[in-house]
Amino acid sequence: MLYFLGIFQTIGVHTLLGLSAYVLLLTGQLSLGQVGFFAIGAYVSGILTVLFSWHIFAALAVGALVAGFFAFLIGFPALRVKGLMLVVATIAFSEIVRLFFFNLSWRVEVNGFDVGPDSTQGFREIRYFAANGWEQTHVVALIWSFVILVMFLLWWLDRVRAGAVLRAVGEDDLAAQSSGVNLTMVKVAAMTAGGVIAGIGGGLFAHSTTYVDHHTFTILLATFAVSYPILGGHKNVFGTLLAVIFIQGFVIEGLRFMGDYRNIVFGLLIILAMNLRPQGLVDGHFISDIKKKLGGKPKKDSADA
Amino acid sequence: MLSINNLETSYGLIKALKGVSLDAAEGEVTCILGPNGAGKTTLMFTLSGIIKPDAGSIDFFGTSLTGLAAPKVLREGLALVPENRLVFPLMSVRENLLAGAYTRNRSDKDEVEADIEKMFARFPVLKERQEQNAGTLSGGEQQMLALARALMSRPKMLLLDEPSVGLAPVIVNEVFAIIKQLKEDGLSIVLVEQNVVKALEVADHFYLLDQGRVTFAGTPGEMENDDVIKRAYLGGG
Repeated sequence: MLYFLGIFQTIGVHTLLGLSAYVLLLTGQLSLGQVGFFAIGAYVSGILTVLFSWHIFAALAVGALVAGFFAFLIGFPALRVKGLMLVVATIAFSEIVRLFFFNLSWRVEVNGFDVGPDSTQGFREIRYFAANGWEQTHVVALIWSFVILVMFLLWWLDRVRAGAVLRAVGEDDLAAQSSGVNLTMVKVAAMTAGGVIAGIGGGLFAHSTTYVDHHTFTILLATFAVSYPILGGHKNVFGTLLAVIFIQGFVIEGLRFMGDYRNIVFGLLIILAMNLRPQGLVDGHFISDIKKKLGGKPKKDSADA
Repeated sequence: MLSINNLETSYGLIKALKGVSLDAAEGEVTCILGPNGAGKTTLMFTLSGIIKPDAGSIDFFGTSLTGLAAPKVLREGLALVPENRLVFPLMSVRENLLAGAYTRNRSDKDEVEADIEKMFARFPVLKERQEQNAGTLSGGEQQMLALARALMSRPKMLLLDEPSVGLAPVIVNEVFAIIKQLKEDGLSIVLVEQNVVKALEVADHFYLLDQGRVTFAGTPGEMENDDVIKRAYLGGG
């Protein structure tokens, strides 16, 4: 049971990470910097609960805000670069963040123990949940409350004007600009929102694993973050969730018996998925395709079904 | 009217516009000709606020547009139809038109709907394809859509950046027929073109842009009689 709860935690945290990349992808920005914001959220909220004995919610909020603030700052120079250059620039950013925490040593005595980030040794004492009597089921519930909240907000965003504006910028920023869209505002807002979401994810991650170090926040995790919305399709938020379940639940965990051969299968599956569903797993026809597969009739004739 | 004075724009160290001055009168079609790299698109981008000029002034019906950001320029009534059409490919035709009304007051929903119907009357093919993704339209249809989208903002003046580029001759004729209609309806237009023969059919005034400078200004008649232009643009000696 604990094992499955662990998988639920991982899927929840990775969904938040994927959704942070999803927001940016809507505006056509491919960022490998989400892991940087994720790391900031993890370390900042961890420092607040461990070193300053803050409540988890306050620590998560501040971690998310700090990550969002850095994302806001990154948003402006990021406006000037597109495509591959943006990918490189955001990798550079997340490496700066990682190396900062790699070097950060901030040990403080709390209740007779030395705690805090210990540079290369990592940050080991993030035991808020255990110390405050949270069961693992509570932790899973907390993570998924955030996942559902963020998914709901993004789903709703897609139904209002702001969502259309984000997509317009993503489809063609020059056309959006000549229709009167404020490009700077939209792109920076998306970057900031992505930073906040990744920051929450990072905070939840740090507290649910109790231990983070710089190895956690490498380019590999950054690649996962962008591959979820790309693989899942950025037509809607459910694609990202489905991609996380597919990759974390099936490829990483489900195929564990294959050992390192998983990596080969992983690559193959991604190539296969990209070929079979170029718009992502959940594209515009997803629902009607499923209906067809189930033998039902397409949407228009559903009245007599 | 639009009055541009000594406009200078650069990309880093490269000066693309080296002091351009020109006027576009109300109700007329003002055509800007010039070879590739002359600065035509840079001029369009500067006028519509996508790029900021280094020097010079843009005056539009008594308001200074110099240095204003793109959304504000559009609100003042100067709308750009960018080169190569640039529709939103994954949005439907109708959504593209709605996007064109982005700067308009949200309360006049009914008027926006009425304007969409007007666009459908002017461009019947868009009505047929209103629920289709814009990316699935042909080049000519996309050009019509880009035009209609710009018109949805109810501009006083339209900047048309090479509407004929990459289109079949028959479609080019259709596009120019639309431009003629818009002119008859009283819309002021600045037209950037390389197709001089077609431009002659609609334009009231010509400017020739070369390497960031205006090298000729005059009426269609004066242009046809200019030896240099005749050789370079109209063919024959």
